[in-house]
Formats: sequence, C-alpha cells, structure tokens
Amino acid sequence: MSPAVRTVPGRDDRDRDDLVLDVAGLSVHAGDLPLVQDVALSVRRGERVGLIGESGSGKSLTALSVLGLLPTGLRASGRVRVATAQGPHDVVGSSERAMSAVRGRDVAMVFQEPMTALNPTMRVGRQVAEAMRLHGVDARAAGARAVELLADVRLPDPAAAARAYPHQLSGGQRQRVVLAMALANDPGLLVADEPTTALDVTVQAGVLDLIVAGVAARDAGLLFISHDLAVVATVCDRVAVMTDGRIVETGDVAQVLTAPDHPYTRRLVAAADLSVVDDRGRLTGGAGTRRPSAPPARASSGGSAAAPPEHDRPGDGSADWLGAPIIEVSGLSRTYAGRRTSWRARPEPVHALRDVSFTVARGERLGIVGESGCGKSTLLRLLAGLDTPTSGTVRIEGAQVSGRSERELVPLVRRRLQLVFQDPMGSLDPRMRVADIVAEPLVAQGLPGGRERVRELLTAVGLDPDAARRYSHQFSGGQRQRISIARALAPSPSILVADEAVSALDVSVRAQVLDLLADLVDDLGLTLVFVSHDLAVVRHLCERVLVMEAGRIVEEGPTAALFEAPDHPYTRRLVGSIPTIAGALRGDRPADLAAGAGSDADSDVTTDPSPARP
Amino acid sequence: MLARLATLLGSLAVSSVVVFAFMQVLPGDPARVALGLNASEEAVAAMRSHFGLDRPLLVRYLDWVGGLVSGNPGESYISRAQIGPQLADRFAVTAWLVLAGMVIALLIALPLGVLMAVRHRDAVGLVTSAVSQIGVAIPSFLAGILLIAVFAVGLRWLPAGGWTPPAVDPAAFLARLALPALSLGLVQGAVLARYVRTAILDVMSEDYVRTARSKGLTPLRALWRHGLRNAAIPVVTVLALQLATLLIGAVVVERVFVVPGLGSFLLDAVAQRDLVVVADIVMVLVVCVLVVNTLADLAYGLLDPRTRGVR
Repeated sequence: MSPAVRTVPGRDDRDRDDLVLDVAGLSVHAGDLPLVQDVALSVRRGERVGLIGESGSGKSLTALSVLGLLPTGLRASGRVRVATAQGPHDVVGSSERAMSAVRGRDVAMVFQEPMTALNPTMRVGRQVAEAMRLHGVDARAAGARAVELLADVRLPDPAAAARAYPHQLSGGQRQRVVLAMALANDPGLLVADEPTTALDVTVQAGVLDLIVAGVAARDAGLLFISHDLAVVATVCDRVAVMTDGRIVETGDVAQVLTAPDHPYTRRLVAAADLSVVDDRGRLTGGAGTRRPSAPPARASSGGSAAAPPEHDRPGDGSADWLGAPIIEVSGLSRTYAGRRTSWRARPEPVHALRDVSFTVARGERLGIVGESGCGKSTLLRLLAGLDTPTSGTVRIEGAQVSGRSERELVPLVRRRLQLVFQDPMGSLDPRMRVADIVAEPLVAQGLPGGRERVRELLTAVGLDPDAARRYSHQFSGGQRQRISIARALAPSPSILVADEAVSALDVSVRAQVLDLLADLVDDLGLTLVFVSHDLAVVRHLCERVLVMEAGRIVEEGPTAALFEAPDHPYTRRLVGSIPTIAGALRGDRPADLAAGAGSDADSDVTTDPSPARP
Repeated sequence: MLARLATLLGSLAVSSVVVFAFMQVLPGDPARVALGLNASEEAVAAMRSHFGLDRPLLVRYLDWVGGLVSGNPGESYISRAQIGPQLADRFAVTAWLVLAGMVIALLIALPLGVLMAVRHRDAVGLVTSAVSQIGVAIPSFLAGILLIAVFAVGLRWLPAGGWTPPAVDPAAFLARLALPALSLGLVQGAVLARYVRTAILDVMSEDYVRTARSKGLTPLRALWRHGLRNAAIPVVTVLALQLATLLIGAVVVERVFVVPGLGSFLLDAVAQRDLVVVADIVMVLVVCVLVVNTLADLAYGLLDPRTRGVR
C-alpha cells in the first residue's frame, strides 16, 4: 500500500514530537449531569492511543468532543486543542464555521456503524470526493483522488466501487470507504470510534491493518476507541482506561494490560481474559453473580421445578445418557429464492444451508461458530421449527420437527427447546412487565405456574424476584439478558439455544452471563447449543464446536483441539485473525492478523451484504 | 418499471369494473329518468335502445370503456349533450385548481417543515408547529369561507367566485384561481409540513449526516446536501396520497367558489341521476389518483438507489 500522501508544506520540518491532540480538564455535561469529567489525553504525531471503556463510560462522548460534534443538549468545557496547519485550534468554544474548516482536514473520524455511516442516495466516490472538495480541491482532481483512495483501502475495482451506492457494498467494504473518506485530506489526527465492532473477525483484521497503515503513511496520530482490550492492544502503543466518565489509568499498552494499577482496570482485564478461570471453571469467582445456593431445579418435584418434570435428569449431565442424541440433524439444506436482478433473468437461488449433518448428545455444550452469512441463523431457525428446510431432517429427542404444524410443534419443540437471542434491547416487549414476559411461554403453551414460578425463575438467573413488577427498559443490558434466559427456562426446556447471547454485552457483564449460563446448564442438566462469532467465548463455554462457512460445516471437533490445531483453511484463517491480548503483547500487529486472515484484506468481498431472507 | 405499469393497467381494469357495476346496481332506469314519470312504455323502450341499454352487460361495459379510452364517451342520458367536450373543460378547471393547490401546499410545507425541524427545540419551532396544527384542524371549505370573508367581502381584493379560463384573460384567471387554490393549499400545506418536519427530524439524527459533519460540512449544509433527498422519500409517499385528498377537497371547494370544475359537474350529475356522467367523472378521478401513485413509485427509484434493484 503506497498512498500518495500530498505533502503539506512545512509539515516535515516540524518537530516530530508535536501534539496533534491535547485534551485537559475536559468535562461534558447534560444540564447539570456530568457525563465526562476532567479527562486528560494527548496524542502525538505518529502515535496510536487507545481509549478503553465499557458502554456508558463516556468514551464516545470524549471522541465526539474532539471533533466538536457533541449531540445538541450536551455541553463541553475544558481544553481540547487539535493541531492545524495554522497552529493549534481550540475546539471548545470554537465557532461552527471555524470548526467546519478543521473537521475533515485536520481531524477526521471513522464511526462504529458502517451500514449507516454513508449517505444511501449518493455514490460512494462522490462522498469521498466531497471530503476533499469541501477543503478546496477542485471537482476533477477530487474525483480522481477518490478512486486512488479507494484503491488504497484495497477495494477491488476501485473505479467501479466509486460509482457504486453504499447498499451495493458489504459492511467491511463500507467501513473501508469511510476510512478512505477520513484519510482523504491527510489529517493530522484520526479518531476511530469502535471502527470494527460491527464487523466479522477476518474483516476486522483487514480494516485494522488499513487504519494502522493509513495513519502510519501520513505520520498522523490515532485516537482509537474500543471496548475490546485485545483489539486496542493490537492497534495501540498507549492506552487510557475510562469508566464512569473519568480516565482512571493511562500508560503503555503492555504495562496497563500486564500490571494494571487501578482496580477497575484489573477487573476489566480479568473479565476479558476467558482463559483464566478458577477451579470451578468460573470467570467471576462468584462474587455478586452466584445464584442463591439452592437451585430451584430440584427444589421440589412436579410442575414447579425448572427441570422437565416428566423425566429424571442425570446429575452430571454425562453425554451418553439415554444413548440416543437429543438433536439429530441430517442432510439439512435451505435454499431461498434469490432477489430478481432483472425482469428477464431468473433469480439466483441463495443456498443458506447446504447438506448439514450433526448430532448433539444430551447434556452436551455445542458451539457453532462462523461469520455473518454463513448460515448459523438459518440453522437455528430450522432447529426451532421456525422455518421449513428445503431438504433434510431435524429430530429433537427423536421426534421429527420439520413439516409439522404450529400446533404440533408446541409440545415437540417449544417445550423442549428454547431460544435466547442476541439483542437484549429488542427481544423483550417494552410494554410488558417482566413477570408477563417470563410467564408468557407458560401461558402460550398452557402450562401451569404463576407468580411463584416467575419468582423462582428470576431468582434462578440472579435477579431480585421483585423485578417481576418492572418493565424491561428499567434494566441494564446484562439484566435484560438474564430476563431473556429466565423466559427461555420457563417451560423447563431440555435444550437451550443461545444465538450470540453475550455479543451485545460489555466484557464484565459478559463474564457474569457466561457463568450464569454455565451454572444453569450444569444444575438443570440442559443441553446447550451456543452460536457465536466470538471464538473465545465458544472456547470458554463449549466442549465441542462446529465451524460453518457458506452454509456448510467445514470442521468440527473438541473445542480445545480444534482451536489449537485447526485443520480446515477457513478455521485457520478464522483463528489466525482473532486479536488476543497475549498475542498483542508478543508483538502481533494488525498486519499479522490480516496475514493470518489470509486476506489481502479482500476477504469480505464475497460477503453478500444483504442475503435475501423471507 | 414494466411490472409497475402492469400493476397500473390491472388496477385501472378492476376499478373500471367496479365503477361500471355501481352504475348498474344503482336504482332507477336511466331511460325512465330521462323521459320523466309520464312517458309511455314504447317511448322508454325506444330510449333504451337509443342508449344501447337493451344490449348485453358485457357489450355495454366494453362500449363504455372503449368510449372513455378513445376520448368519446357518448352522450348524457339527461341533457343528451356530448359528454366528452364538457368533461375535458371541467377537468382542465379542476386540474388547474389541484395543481395550484399542490404548488401552494409545497411552497408552504417545505420551508415551514424544515424550519419546524431545525428549530424544533426553540420558540420559533414551537410557534410554527402550533400554527400548522391549527391548519391541520381546519377543513378546506371552512378555510375557503374565511378567505372569502376576508379577501373578497372585507378587503375586496379578489373576486369571491366564478371562473375565467386562462386563454381568455390571464389576469382574471389568476385572480379567480387564487382563493380556491389557497383554501386547498393552505390546509394541505399544513398537513404536509407536519410530515416534512418528521422526515427532516429523522434524517437529522442519521449517522450519515453526522459523517457529513465530520467531513467539514456545517449543520445546514449537511442537511441540504445529504438530508433533503433522503427526507424526500417518505414525503413523496404522502404527497401522492394527498392528491386524492386534494381532488375530494376540490369537489367541495368548487361548490364554495362556484367554480365549474369536475366537482360541481359531479354534484350536478348526481343530483340529476345522470349515471353515465357520474361514472365517467369518477373514472377520470380514479385514473388521476392511480397515475399519480404510479409516478410516485417511479420517483422512489430516482430518489432511492436501493429500490432500483441491484445495479
């Protein structure tokens, strides 16, 4: 990659140590409520600084303050000084006009959500060119340079990409466009706010590589905001840790992550590292998250127990109990009618699932990993009887699922298999009380159990039984996910299927929910099917794993063995592209991950941006 | 595009059957109505065969549709005059009225809606929003009466009613168009402004507008260059639906201002049980609404590349 850096007169002559960002005493208030307090940060030319924090820590507001882009109603005070060609510019108190001249020229930003960051009604090339035209480049030169920039971020056929609309590009490609746009004027400082959080790991590796290379080629400073310690460790030299609106620790990446000083940092680092568990295999050591000692599962026989009353369960959840597998999938395929691209051509069918076969033993914890569009969601829908396969069969406890009417499915599937979904915000009805949410599967299936059962379930997932009277928006993301789990457990299922159930949670909360899931599976003798893009989580939780790519299972085996010695090239790419703290401390850089991803950063090119779903 | 055209033709065919069926179901033999109560059976029979009412239903349907398509819908049952020329004249009047009403509505709604959205937090936004609420609540005929009271009776600036075709006297045409068009446009403009406000507010919180600002666009320029086209997409939907409202509004407003448009034509025809004329007018209105909706659908394609298919 050799971006044609336009030389800014005098830039090279300057002191290499000059600050491109100098923040001191920055506070952000909403009315009288402080959201960010007394933040101090500095970024030098050529330096990559990470800002780590969980949701609500104030890290994104800090990033927006640097560009003077705080949402209306929020007020910044303190000093935010960015370097410009005309010397340092104070952002706080700057006029809108002066700030507009600085934005995009001296300071640029890459946002989290590539799917919505681009104007859907404007061609990509024009949007990149616009960034330059706003700062004095004429239309023809800007258009030509836009294509060069798109080539720099390694979009295949950059001239065609420039003419494309955003919806014609995949998420990874769109984020490359946003990056090209941000780097268009060779800014002295790039602010990247969770730039790869929404992307698959192999795509992430490529984008991180481009960010680091683009910044390095321009000798610019990088302020990199992320909740992901491993990503920050891989990208950055220095790191600041933020919580509750304050920076609690700053230092070299190696020092902060190996010898954290502040208790919060220590907790965060511990929670992020899923390989460190106590002798009971727990992440959080039990404090505050362990359920009340008496599991409700076996508290009594009959309808009130969380375990299915009709048959006894093995205490140890051994895999070969009853001999027969609890889930049998054989030759499963699902083909969707593709979208019509013209009125003459036949629509291309989309093969979401191709001849998938596997079994799950009773009490087993099975992980399914794969990137977006690999068919995991389709597989789950078929398992749950929410969709009908094109061919092949699904059997749950020996009973055939596919082709049944909704009425037949209730006793066959709904009572035995329950789902926990990814989005703890969207999957709970905001107008229902928690008690009604949790009791709904019981009501819907005509099962006994009332207020008592709800209290029992809420206790089982570590919530106060009084939560039953409240609404879901009154809970945090982690608590909502607990409510989702309580709801799933209500009909005493034997199988729990979790679809990216911890992906939307902060690391510290994630650890608690993972422990909760593990406890419940053990105590209730559940079978767990855990779908995730996050290999570390699967590795921690599951005994066996299936790796899916393009609708097929490409590899399966015991988790530890499979991740240690992946056999299939795709698994190797997947494992190789995951950033880890340990790897970063050994000196892995984004370029290494991108190489591990086997991508000359084009791995996301084949990803269908919007697979047709019925 | 072709599919859209096929849908349009299909809807037209279905609605023509419905309108024709209505004409058959309504009580009253047109021939008897035309000749009066004391007509002899022979005269009624002769009249029926003159109008072709004694032919099979299908033939009469095809005849009617054929007449409309060829622009020669035949003669009225009552006045025995040719319907075609009269329909064309009346349609031109209503078209001017609706068009002018739409232009006024847009001229009001676009700036007002943007203003309400951009200033939605301060007094300006609050006041304009309240004013537009009042506009939404007033029916167009009431607005018409108020306008007459102020501008025709009180200030004597404009005529209270009547019509002059533009070819005859352009100045008089505009003077007589002004009040009825205003009474249609003010109300529709107030309604439309609410939608424009919502669309702009939605767009202002979109990520791509923030991206545009991070490139160095001021808030207003970001809205202008990246927001308006996106905000136009939902507004076009409403606009197409509003045309139907405007046509119905025109029927009433034409009465208030004594304008010889389709509306007054329709009301007269209904009063006289002139069923062919009623059916023809209704069909013309149906065609207008369907064609405008099709145009709106095609406009999405121009505004939103995502609806254009893959590439």
